[in-house]
Amino acid sequence: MSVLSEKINAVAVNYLGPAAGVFMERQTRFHLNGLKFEDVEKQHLTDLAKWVQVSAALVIDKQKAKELSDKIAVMTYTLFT
Amino acid sequence: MRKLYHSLETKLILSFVLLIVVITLGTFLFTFSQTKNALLDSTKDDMLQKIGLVSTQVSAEDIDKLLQFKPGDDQSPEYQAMISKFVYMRSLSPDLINFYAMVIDGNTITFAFDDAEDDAASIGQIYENPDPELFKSVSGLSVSKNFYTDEWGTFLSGYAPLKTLDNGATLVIGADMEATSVIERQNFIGETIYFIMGGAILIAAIIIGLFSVTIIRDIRKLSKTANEISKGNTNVSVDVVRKDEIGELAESFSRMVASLKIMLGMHAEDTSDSRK
Repeated sequence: MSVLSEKINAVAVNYLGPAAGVFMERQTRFHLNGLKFEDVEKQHLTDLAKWVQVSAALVIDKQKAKELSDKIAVMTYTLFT
Repeated sequence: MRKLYHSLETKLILSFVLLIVVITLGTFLFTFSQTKNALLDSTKDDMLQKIGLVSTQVSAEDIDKLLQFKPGDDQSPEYQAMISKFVYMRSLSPDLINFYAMVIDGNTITFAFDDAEDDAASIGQIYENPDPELFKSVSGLSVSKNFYTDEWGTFLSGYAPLKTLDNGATLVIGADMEATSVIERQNFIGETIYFIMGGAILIAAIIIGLFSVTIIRDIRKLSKTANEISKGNTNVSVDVVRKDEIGELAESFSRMVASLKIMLGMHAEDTSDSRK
């Protein structure tokens, strides 16, 4: 898993629990043209964040889903990748 | 439905209330007892000062007169003049209800004077059931250790020696303070403490009640959600937002529910795919 995927997973686990990795994998596969979660890069994050907000709202509180989405989106502008 | 005595809410509130009642009761009893003793001690000190002061106001001439009164002199002008003098001194200290003079000769105490308005001891009357502290007054000021009861009532008394006679007997002056006035003050303090403690218990009970009710309400929500999930209904959410340990539990629970929903969703899709 790439550093960026691990960072996203680490954030997502706080909202989605141990199934966060599986959840992210499904978002990238279904909504980012079959992309593997481990191959996700900064340019995918805006779309990923958008879909995470929509899908996560189905399993967690909408406000929490938005919070998770924002945290993923903001990674686009961080320097660690 | 959970029985009332098995409810966490009942146990929590009862434990807190019991704790508060025990602490408050202990504090009340201790404070009341200490205050009561302190009030009695200060009254005794006050009584000693007053009787000491009164004894200095009895002149040598007065002492001679007190010693000369004979049985039957109660209505004599000299005796009545003496009463007037002591009544005037009493008026300066309304707590004191009665002054009297006695001759203590060994274990025998004989009244020489009594300014009581009703049921006064007569001159030469033997005091049958005296306050034990009275005997100490032959050598100095003394005051009752506690309230004592004699044929005239229940009092707190102070005594002061006036003169040692040639035969070794001692003329002593005494003053009474009615027990009810001190007991009334003690009761007032007790009632004040009682009301303050009662108010504190009530306020604490209300705060604890509200506190417990919100905790239990949120625990019940978590319990209800867990119950629904255990029955296969994953279309539930954890509607508990707190910043304490219950809030942390709710967040953990929420993550667990989310994971379960994701996994169950995947399982349903996999099952559906395999049937195609």
